[in-house]
Amino acid sequence: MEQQPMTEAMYYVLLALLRPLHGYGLMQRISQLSGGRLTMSPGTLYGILSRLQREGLIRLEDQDARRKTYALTEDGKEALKTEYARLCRLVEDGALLKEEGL
Amino acid sequence: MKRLYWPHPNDWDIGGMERFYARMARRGWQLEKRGAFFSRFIRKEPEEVCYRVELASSSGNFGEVQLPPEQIQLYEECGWQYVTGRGLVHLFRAPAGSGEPELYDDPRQQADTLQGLRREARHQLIGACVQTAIYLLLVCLNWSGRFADMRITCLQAPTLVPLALILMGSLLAGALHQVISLGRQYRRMRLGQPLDRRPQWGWRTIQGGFWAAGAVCVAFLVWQAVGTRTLMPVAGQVGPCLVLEQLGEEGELTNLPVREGRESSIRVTPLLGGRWWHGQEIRETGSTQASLFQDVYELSSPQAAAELGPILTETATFGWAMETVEVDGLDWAVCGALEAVAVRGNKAACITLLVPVENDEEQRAALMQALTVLAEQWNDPT
Repeated sequence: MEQQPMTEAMYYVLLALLRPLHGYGLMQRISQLSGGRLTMSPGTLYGILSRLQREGLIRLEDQDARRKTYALTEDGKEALKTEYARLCRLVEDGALLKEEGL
Repeated sequence: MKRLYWPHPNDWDIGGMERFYARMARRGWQLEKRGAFFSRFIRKEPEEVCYRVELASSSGNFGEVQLPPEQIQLYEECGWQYVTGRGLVHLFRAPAGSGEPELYDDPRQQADTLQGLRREARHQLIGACVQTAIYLLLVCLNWSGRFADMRITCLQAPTLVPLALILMGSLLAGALHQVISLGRQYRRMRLGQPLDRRPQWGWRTIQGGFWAAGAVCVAFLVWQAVGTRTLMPVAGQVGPCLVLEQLGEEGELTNLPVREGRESSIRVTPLLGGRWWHGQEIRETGSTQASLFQDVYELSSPQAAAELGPILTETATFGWAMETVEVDGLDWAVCGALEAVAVRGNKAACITLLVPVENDEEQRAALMQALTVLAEQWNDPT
Protein backbone atom coordinates (compact mmCIF):
# COMPACT_ATOMS: atom_id res chain seq x y z
CA MET A 1 0.00 0.00 0.00
CA GLU A 2 1.34 3.43 -0.94
CA GLN A 3 2.68 5.36 2.03
CA GLN A 4 0.63 8.39 3.04
CA PRO A 5 2.55 11.69 2.98
CA MET A 6 3.95 12.60 6.37
CA THR A 7 3.44 15.84 8.21
CA GLU A 8 6.46 18.05 8.51
CA ALA A 9 6.66 17.32 12.24
CA MET A 10 6.64 13.55 11.72
CA TYR A 11 9.32 13.81 9.03
CA TYR A 12 11.66 15.78 11.27
CA VAL A 13 11.08 13.41 14.21
CA LEU A 14 12.12 10.45 12.07
CA LEU A 15 15.03 12.41 10.68
CA ALA A 16 16.23 13.34 14.16
CA LEU A 17 15.99 9.71 15.27
CA LEU A 18 18.63 8.56 12.84
CA ARG A 19 20.54 8.71 16.08
CA PRO A 20 18.64 7.30 19.14
CA LEU A 21 17.62 10.15 21.42
CA HIS A 22 15.59 10.81 24.53
CA GLY A 23 12.59 13.12 24.41
CA TYR A 24 14.13 16.48 25.28
CA GLY A 25 17.22 15.78 23.20
CA LEU A 26 14.89 15.02 20.33
CA MET A 27 13.21 18.41 20.68
CA GLN A 28 16.57 20.14 20.53
CA ARG A 29 17.76 18.06 17.56
CA ILE A 30 14.60 18.84 15.60
CA SER A 31 15.06 22.54 16.22
CA GLN A 32 18.69 22.23 15.12
CA LEU A 33 17.91 20.25 11.95
CA SER A 34 15.21 22.69 10.89
CA GLY A 35 17.38 25.69 11.55
CA GLY A 36 15.14 26.84 14.39
CA ARG A 37 12.13 26.89 12.10
CA LEU A 38 10.35 24.03 13.75
CA THR A 39 9.92 23.96 17.52
CA MET A 40 7.61 21.54 19.20
CA SER A 41 5.96 21.63 22.57
CA PRO A 42 6.43 18.50 24.68
CA GLY A 43 2.83 17.38 24.44
CA THR A 44 2.75 17.73 20.67
CA LEU A 45 6.05 15.84 20.37
CA TYR A 46 4.86 13.10 22.67
CA GLY A 47 1.68 12.71 20.66
CA ILE A 48 3.72 12.26 17.47
CA LEU A 49 6.04 9.79 19.16
CA SER A 50 3.05 7.76 20.39
CA ARG A 51 1.59 7.64 16.91
CA LEU A 52 4.90 6.63 15.31
CA GLN A 53 5.27 3.93 17.94
CA ARG A 54 1.80 2.59 17.19
CA GLU A 55 2.63 2.51 13.49
CA GLY A 56 5.83 0.61 14.22
CA LEU A 57 8.14 3.27 12.82
CA ILE A 58 10.00 3.88 16.10
CA ARG A 59 10.58 1.96 19.28
CA LEU A 60 11.25 2.84 22.87
CA GLU A 61 14.49 1.63 24.40
CA ASP A 62 15.70 1.52 28.00
CA GLN A 63 19.16 2.99 27.98
CA ASP A 64 19.34 3.08 31.73
CA ALA A 65 16.95 3.08 34.65
CA ARG A 66 16.44 6.84 34.46
CA ARG A 67 16.00 7.58 30.83
CA LYS A 68 14.18 6.05 27.94
CA THR A 69 15.25 6.78 24.40
CA TYR A 70 13.60 6.44 21.04
CA ALA A 71 15.10 4.82 17.99
CA LEU A 72 14.02 4.12 14.40
CA THR A 73 12.87 0.67 13.45
CA GLU A 74 13.64 -0.82 10.04
CA ASP A 75 10.14 0.17 8.94
CA GLY A 76 10.83 3.66 10.18
CA LYS A 77 14.03 3.89 8.14
CA GLU A 78 12.21 2.71 5.04
CA ALA A 79 9.37 5.18 5.65
CA LEU A 80 11.90 8.00 6.07
CA LYS A 81 13.71 7.10 2.86
CA THR A 82 10.42 6.88 0.98
CA GLU A 83 9.31 10.26 2.26
CA TYR A 84 12.66 11.82 1.44
CA ALA A 85 12.45 10.43 -2.09
CA ARG A 86 8.95 11.81 -2.45
CA LEU A 87 10.05 15.26 -1.30
CA CYS A 88 13.00 15.16 -3.71
CA ARG A 89 10.66 14.37 -6.58
CA LEU A 90 8.48 17.27 -5.59
CA VAL A 91 11.50 19.60 -5.65
CA GLU A 92 12.68 18.21 -9.01
CA ASP A 93 9.25 18.68 -10.49
CA GLY A 94 9.29 22.21 -9.12
CA ALA A 95 12.29 23.07 -11.32
CA LEU A 96 9.62 24.11 -13.80
CA LEU A 97 9.38 27.32 -11.81
CA LYS A 98 12.90 28.32 -12.88
CA GLU A 99 12.13 27.50 -16.51
CA GLU A 100 9.15 29.80 -16.31
CA GLY A 101 11.30 32.52 -14.83
CA LEU A 102 9.49 32.56 -11.49
CA MET B 1 2.96 20.54 58.48
CA LYS B 2 -0.41 22.16 57.94
CA ARG B 3 -2.70 20.52 55.45
CA LEU B 4 -5.96 21.59 53.90
CA TYR B 5 -8.69 19.68 52.07
CA TRP B 6 -10.76 21.68 49.62
CA PRO B 7 -13.27 20.77 46.90
CA HIS B 8 -11.88 21.21 43.41
CA PRO B 9 -13.54 21.95 40.03
CA ASN B 10 -14.88 19.10 37.94
CA ASP B 11 -12.58 17.20 35.58
CA TRP B 12 -14.21 18.70 32.49
CA ASP B 13 -13.42 22.26 33.63
CA ILE B 14 -9.76 22.18 32.61
CA GLY B 15 -9.30 25.94 32.71
CA GLY B 16 -11.11 26.10 36.02
CA MET B 17 -8.80 23.51 37.55
CA GLU B 18 -5.67 25.32 36.36
CA ARG B 19 -6.89 28.66 37.72
CA PHE B 20 -7.99 27.09 40.99
CA TYR B 21 -4.64 25.47 41.79
CA ALA B 22 -2.71 28.59 40.76
CA ARG B 23 -4.93 30.67 43.03
CA MET B 24 -4.36 28.32 45.95
CA ALA B 25 -0.59 28.50 45.37
CA ARG B 26 -0.77 32.29 45.51
CA ARG B 27 -2.44 31.92 48.91
CA GLY B 28 0.31 29.64 50.16
CA TRP B 29 -1.34 26.25 49.58
CA GLN B 30 0.54 23.88 47.34
CA LEU B 31 -1.30 20.97 45.78
CA GLU B 32 -0.20 17.64 47.20
CA LYS B 33 -2.80 15.13 46.12
CA ARG B 34 -6.03 15.14 44.20
CA GLY B 35 -9.02 13.00 45.19
CA ALA B 36 -12.40 12.37 43.64
CA PHE B 37 -13.97 15.55 44.99
CA PHE B 38 -11.37 17.12 47.28
CA SER B 39 -7.75 18.11 46.79
CA ARG B 40 -5.20 17.99 49.57
CA PHE B 41 -2.91 21.00 49.99
CA ILE B 42 0.17 21.55 52.07
CA ARG B 43 1.16 24.87 53.59
CA LYS B 44 4.06 26.54 51.75
CA GLU B 45 5.23 30.04 50.91
CA PRO B 46 2.89 31.84 48.51
CA GLU B 47 4.17 31.61 44.95
CA GLU B 48 3.14 32.47 41.44
CA VAL B 49 2.78 29.14 39.73
CA CYS B 50 1.25 28.04 36.46
CA TYR B 51 -0.61 24.73 36.46
CA ARG B 52 -1.42 22.72 33.36
CA VAL B 53 -3.66 19.71 33.00
CA GLU B 54 -2.61 16.71 30.93
CA LEU B 55 -5.21 14.07 30.19
CA ALA B 56 -4.22 10.44 30.09
CA SER B 57 -5.51 8.10 27.42
CA SER B 58 -8.29 5.95 28.79
CA SER B 59 -7.40 2.30 28.84
CA GLY B 60 -11.03 1.39 29.36
CA ASN B 61 -10.30 0.37 32.93
CA PHE B 62 -11.84 2.16 35.89
CA GLY B 63 -9.61 3.80 38.47
CA GLU B 64 -6.16 5.26 38.11
CA VAL B 65 -4.73 5.82 34.65
CA GLN B 66 -1.05 6.59 34.90
CA LEU B 67 0.83 8.78 32.47
CA PRO B 68 3.69 6.88 30.79
CA PRO B 69 7.02 7.54 32.55
CA GLU B 70 8.60 8.70 29.28
CA GLN B 71 5.89 11.34 28.89
CA ILE B 72 6.44 12.63 32.44
CA GLN B 73 10.19 12.56 31.79
CA LEU B 74 9.81 14.65 28.62
CA TYR B 75 7.60 17.22 30.32
CA GLU B 76 9.91 17.52 33.30
CA GLU B 77 12.92 18.02 31.04
CA CYS B 78 11.01 20.90 29.50
CA GLY B 79 10.57 22.50 32.92
CA TRP B 80 7.16 21.17 33.96
CA GLN B 81 7.11 19.43 37.34
CA TYR B 82 4.69 16.53 37.74
CA VAL B 83 2.49 17.13 40.78
CA THR B 84 -0.22 14.49 41.04
CA GLY B 85 -2.96 12.79 39.12
CA ARG B 86 -6.22 10.97 39.56
CA GLY B 87 -8.26 9.17 36.96
CA LEU B 88 -7.51 10.72 33.59
CA VAL B 89 -6.46 14.09 35.01
CA HIS B 90 -2.78 14.78 35.74
CA LEU B 91 -1.30 18.08 36.82
CA PHE B 92 2.01 19.73 36.00
CA ARG B 93 3.39 22.89 37.51
CA ALA B 94 5.98 25.49 36.50
CA PRO B 95 6.86 28.90 37.93
CA ALA B 96 4.75 31.55 36.25
CA GLY B 97 6.60 33.60 33.67
CA SER B 98 9.56 31.21 33.55
CA GLY B 99 9.22 30.72 29.82
CA GLU B 100 8.45 27.00 29.79
CA PRO B 101 6.73 26.06 26.53
CA GLU B 102 3.04 25.25 26.72
CA LEU B 103 2.38 21.53 26.78
CA TYR B 104 0.73 21.72 23.35
CA ASP B 105 1.16 24.09 20.43
CA ASP B 106 -1.11 22.09 18.12
CA PRO B 107 -4.76 22.29 19.26
CA ARG B 108 -5.79 19.58 16.77
CA GLN B 109 -3.46 17.12 18.38
CA GLN B 110 -4.38 18.21 21.89
CA ALA B 111 -8.03 17.64 20.98
CA ASP B 112 -7.34 13.90 20.83
CA THR B 113 -6.42 13.93 24.52
CA LEU B 114 -10.04 14.86 25.33
CA GLN B 115 -11.42 11.60 23.96
CA GLY B 116 -10.98 9.62 27.16
CA LEU B 117 -12.67 12.29 29.21
CA ARG B 118 -15.50 12.59 26.69
CA ARG B 119 -16.06 8.86 26.86
CA GLU B 120 -16.22 9.01 30.66
CA ALA B 121 -18.64 11.93 30.47
CA ARG B 122 -20.97 9.99 28.18
CA HIS B 123 -20.90 7.00 30.52
CA GLN B 124 -21.68 9.27 33.46
CA LEU B 125 -24.61 10.79 31.60
CA ILE B 126 -26.01 7.35 30.85
CA GLY B 127 -25.48 6.40 34.49
CA ALA B 128 -27.25 9.55 35.71
CA CYS B 129 -30.21 8.87 33.41
CA VAL B 130 -30.48 5.26 34.55
CA GLN B 131 -30.15 6.26 38.21
CA THR B 132 -32.88 8.85 37.87
CA ALA B 133 -35.16 6.45 36.04
CA ILE B 134 -34.68 3.76 38.71
CA TYR B 135 -35.31 6.26 41.47
CA LEU B 136 -38.50 7.49 39.87
CA LEU B 137 -39.61 3.89 39.32
CA LEU B 138 -38.97 3.00 42.97
CA VAL B 139 -40.87 6.08 44.12
CA CYS B 140 -43.81 5.13 41.93
CA LEU B 141 -43.72 1.51 43.16
CA ASN B 142 -43.47 2.68 46.77
CA TRP B 143 -46.56 4.71 46.30
CA SER B 144 -48.34 1.58 45.20
CA GLY B 145 -49.91 3.90 42.72
CA ARG B 146 -51.27 6.09 45.52
CA PHE B 147 -50.62 9.73 45.05
CA ALA B 148 -52.02 10.25 48.55
CA ASP B 149 -48.79 9.01 50.12
CA MET B 150 -46.84 11.71 48.30
CA ARG B 151 -49.39 14.31 49.45
CA ILE B 152 -48.76 13.32 53.08
CA THR B 153 -44.98 13.49 52.58
CA CYS B 154 -45.33 16.92 50.97
CA LEU B 155 -47.36 18.07 53.95
CA GLN B 156 -45.06 16.68 56.65
CA ALA B 157 -41.79 17.69 54.99
CA PRO B 158 -42.67 20.06 52.15
CA THR B 159 -39.14 20.53 50.92
CA LEU B 160 -38.13 16.88 50.94
CA VAL B 161 -39.56 16.12 47.52
CA PRO B 162 -38.24 19.34 45.95
CA LEU B 163 -34.83 18.61 47.50
CA ALA B 164 -34.79 15.15 45.94
CA LEU B 165 -35.81 16.64 42.59
CA ILE B 166 -33.10 19.31 42.89
CA LEU B 167 -30.46 16.68 43.62
CA MET B 168 -31.58 14.52 40.70
CA GLY B 169 -31.85 17.55 38.45
CA SER B 170 -28.41 18.86 39.32
CA LEU B 171 -26.91 15.41 38.78
CA LEU B 172 -28.50 15.12 35.35
CA ALA B 173 -27.77 18.72 34.39
CA GLY B 174 -24.15 18.36 35.49
CA ALA B 175 -23.68 15.17 33.49
CA LEU B 176 -25.31 16.70 30.42
CA HIS B 177 -23.28 19.90 30.68
CA GLN B 178 -20.11 17.86 30.97
CA VAL B 179 -20.85 16.08 27.68
CA ILE B 180 -21.82 19.29 25.91
CA SER B 181 -18.87 21.29 27.22
CA LEU B 182 -16.26 18.68 26.30
CA GLY B 183 -17.83 18.19 22.89
CA ARG B 184 -17.68 21.91 22.26
CA GLN B 185 -14.03 22.02 23.36
CA TYR B 186 -13.18 19.10 21.09
CA ARG B 187 -14.82 20.63 18.02
CA ARG B 188 -13.21 23.99 18.70
CA MET B 189 -9.76 22.44 19.01
CA ARG B 190 -10.20 20.28 15.90
CA LEU B 191 -10.75 23.54 14.02
CA GLY B 192 -7.37 24.73 15.28
CA GLN B 193 -8.53 26.98 18.10
CA PRO B 194 -6.72 26.62 21.42
CA LEU B 195 -8.28 25.10 24.52
CA ASP B 196 -10.84 27.50 25.98
CA ARG B 197 -9.73 28.15 29.54
CA ARG B 198 -12.19 30.93 30.27
CA PRO B 199 -14.56 30.69 33.27
CA GLN B 200 -17.92 29.23 32.34
CA TRP B 201 -20.20 31.77 33.93
CA GLY B 202 -23.35 30.38 32.36
CA TRP B 203 -22.93 26.99 33.95
CA ARG B 204 -21.80 28.54 37.24
CA THR B 205 -25.03 30.53 37.34
CA ILE B 206 -27.10 27.40 36.78
CA GLN B 207 -25.09 25.50 39.35
CA GLY B 208 -25.50 28.37 41.79
CA GLY B 209 -29.23 28.21 41.25
CA PHE B 210 -29.27 24.53 42.17
CA TRP B 211 -27.20 25.18 45.26
CA ALA B 212 -29.40 28.09 46.34
CA ALA B 213 -32.59 26.09 45.87
CA GLY B 214 -31.10 23.15 47.74
CA ALA B 215 -29.97 25.44 50.55
CA VAL B 216 -33.47 26.83 50.94
CA CYS B 217 -34.87 23.31 51.17
CA VAL B 218 -32.25 22.25 53.70
CA ALA B 219 -32.80 25.44 55.70
CA PHE B 220 -36.46 24.60 55.96
CA LEU B 221 -35.72 21.06 57.11
CA VAL B 222 -33.33 22.45 59.73
CA TRP B 223 -35.97 24.94 60.84
CA GLN B 224 -38.41 22.07 61.20
CA ALA B 225 -35.94 19.95 63.15
CA VAL B 226 -35.00 22.80 65.46
CA GLY B 227 -38.65 23.68 66.04
CA THR B 228 -39.70 20.13 66.86
CA ARG B 229 -40.65 19.49 70.50
CA THR B 230 -41.45 16.29 72.34
CA LEU B 231 -44.16 16.25 74.97
CA MET B 232 -45.40 13.71 77.48
CA PRO B 233 -48.92 12.46 76.77
CA VAL B 234 -50.60 14.34 79.60
CA ALA B 235 -54.17 15.62 79.25
CA GLY B 236 -54.43 19.35 78.77
CA GLN B 237 -50.80 19.73 77.73
CA VAL B 238 -50.81 18.23 74.24
CA GLY B 239 -52.84 20.71 72.19
CA PRO B 240 -55.38 19.09 69.86
CA CYS B 241 -54.20 15.55 70.59
CA LEU B 242 -56.03 12.91 72.59
CA VAL B 243 -54.48 10.96 75.44
CA LEU B 244 -55.58 7.55 76.69
CA GLU B 245 -56.39 9.04 80.06
CA GLN B 246 -59.25 10.97 78.43
CA LEU B 247 -60.65 7.66 77.15
CA GLY B 248 -60.62 6.03 80.56
CA GLU B 249 -57.34 4.15 80.17
CA GLU B 250 -55.31 5.00 83.24
CA GLY B 251 -52.65 2.32 83.19
CA GLU B 252 -48.95 2.91 83.45
CA LEU B 253 -47.15 4.55 80.53
CA THR B 254 -44.82 2.12 78.88
CA ASN B 255 -42.41 1.85 75.97
CA LEU B 256 -43.50 0.92 72.51
CA PRO B 257 -42.95 -2.80 72.04
CA VAL B 258 -42.11 -2.75 68.35
CA ARG B 259 -40.14 0.42 67.85
CA GLU B 260 -36.92 -0.35 69.67
CA GLY B 261 -38.44 0.59 73.00
CA ARG B 262 -39.18 4.23 72.19
CA GLU B 263 -41.07 6.00 74.93
CA SER B 264 -44.69 7.07 74.68
CA SER B 265 -44.61 10.66 73.55
CA ILE B 266 -46.13 13.30 71.33
CA ARG B 267 -43.86 15.08 68.87
CA VAL B 268 -44.85 18.53 67.62
CA THR B 269 -43.32 19.62 64.29
CA PRO B 270 -43.84 23.03 62.68
CA LEU B 271 -45.27 23.08 59.16
CA LEU B 272 -45.73 25.82 56.62
CA GLY B 273 -48.69 27.67 58.12
CA GLY B 274 -49.45 25.07 60.76
CA ARG B 275 -48.28 22.22 62.99
CA TRP B 276 -48.16 18.45 62.91
CA TRP B 277 -48.65 16.44 66.06
CA HIS B 278 -47.48 12.84 65.95
CA GLY B 279 -48.37 10.82 69.03
CA GLN B 280 -47.75 7.28 70.26
CA GLU B 281 -48.94 6.18 73.67
CA ILE B 282 -49.18 2.80 75.34
CA ARG B 283 -50.50 2.17 78.83
CA GLU B 284 -50.40 -1.11 80.69
CA THR B 285 -52.90 -2.22 83.29
CA GLY B 286 -51.80 -5.52 84.69
CA SER B 287 -51.53 -7.84 81.72
CA THR B 288 -53.58 -5.73 79.33
CA GLN B 289 -52.46 -2.88 77.11
CA ALA B 290 -54.16 0.06 75.45
CA SER B 291 -52.41 1.92 72.64
CA LEU B 292 -53.15 5.13 70.83
CA PHE B 293 -51.35 6.29 67.66
CA GLN B 294 -52.37 9.58 66.13
CA ASP B 295 -51.43 12.21 63.57
CA VAL B 296 -53.13 15.56 64.11
CA TYR B 297 -52.66 18.43 61.70
CA GLU B 298 -53.36 22.09 62.38
CA LEU B 299 -53.41 23.66 58.91
CA SER B 300 -53.64 27.14 57.45
CA SER B 301 -57.32 26.90 56.50
CA PRO B 302 -60.46 24.74 56.91
CA GLN B 303 -60.29 24.02 53.19
CA ALA B 304 -56.85 22.48 53.57
CA ALA B 305 -58.11 20.32 56.44
CA ALA B 306 -61.18 19.26 54.45
CA GLU B 307 -58.93 18.17 51.56
CA LEU B 308 -56.64 16.29 53.92
CA GLY B 309 -59.41 14.19 55.50
CA PRO B 310 -59.95 11.83 52.53
CA ILE B 311 -56.18 11.58 52.01
CA LEU B 312 -55.71 10.45 55.61
CA THR B 313 -58.46 7.90 55.05
CA GLU B 314 -56.77 6.58 51.92
CA THR B 315 -53.39 6.26 53.62
CA ALA B 316 -54.68 4.77 56.87
CA THR B 317 -52.85 1.63 57.96
CA PHE B 318 -56.02 -0.18 59.00
CA GLY B 319 -58.27 1.62 56.57
CA TRP B 320 -60.63 -1.22 55.70
CA ALA B 321 -64.34 -0.98 56.39
CA MET B 322 -64.20 2.77 56.90
CA GLU B 323 -67.67 4.32 57.06
CA THR B 324 -68.77 7.92 57.28
CA VAL B 325 -70.17 8.66 60.72
CA GLU B 326 -71.98 11.62 62.26
CA VAL B 327 -70.26 13.09 65.31
CA ASP B 328 -71.44 16.28 66.95
CA GLY B 329 -68.79 18.94 66.71
CA LEU B 330 -66.94 17.40 63.75
CA ASP B 331 -67.31 18.61 60.16
CA TRP B 332 -66.53 15.17 58.77
CA ALA B 333 -65.53 11.81 60.19
CA VAL B 334 -65.02 8.22 59.10
CA CYS B 335 -64.61 5.25 61.37
CA GLY B 336 -63.33 1.75 60.71
CA ALA B 337 -62.32 -1.25 62.78
CA LEU B 338 -59.16 0.18 64.33
CA GLU B 339 -58.76 3.60 62.78
CA ALA B 340 -60.78 6.81 62.47
CA VAL B 341 -60.30 10.12 60.66
CA ALA B 342 -61.84 13.41 61.76
CA VAL B 343 -61.96 16.97 60.39
CA ARG B 344 -63.06 20.12 62.21
CA GLY B 345 -62.22 23.62 61.04
CA ASN B 346 -58.51 23.76 60.24
CA LYS B 347 -57.75 20.53 62.07
CA ALA B 348 -57.59 16.99 60.70
CA ALA B 349 -56.66 13.84 62.60
CA CYS B 350 -56.08 10.15 61.98
CA ILE B 351 -56.37 8.01 65.11
CA THR B 352 -55.45 4.36 65.60
CA LEU B 353 -56.83 3.03 68.87
CA LEU B 354 -56.42 -0.46 70.32
CA VAL B 355 -58.10 -1.14 73.65
CA PRO B 356 -58.48 -4.39 75.60
CA VAL B 357 -62.05 -5.31 74.63
CA GLU B 358 -63.86 -8.51 73.81
CA ASN B 359 -64.88 -7.98 70.20
CA ASP B 360 -64.83 -5.72 67.15
CA GLU B 361 -68.06 -3.99 68.12
CA GLU B 362 -66.58 -2.81 71.40
CA GLN B 363 -63.44 -1.74 69.61
CA ARG B 364 -65.47 0.34 67.18
CA ALA B 365 -67.48 1.82 70.06
CA ALA B 366 -64.21 2.87 71.71
CA LEU B 367 -63.20 4.62 68.50
CA MET B 368 -66.53 6.44 68.32
CA GLN B 369 -66.03 7.54 71.91
CA ALA B 370 -62.58 8.82 70.97
CA LEU B 371 -64.09 10.84 68.13
CA THR B 372 -66.64 12.35 70.54
CA VAL B 373 -63.95 13.32 73.04
CA LEU B 374 -61.87 14.73 70.23
CA ALA B 375 -64.79 16.85 69.02
CA GLU B 376 -65.34 18.22 72.51
CA GLN B 377 -61.67 19.03 72.85
CA TRP B 378 -61.44 20.76 69.48
CA ASN B 379 -64.59 22.80 70.19
CA ASP B 380 -63.55 23.80 73.69
CA PRO B 381 -62.80 27.53 73.53
CA THR B 382 -60.31 27.19 76.40
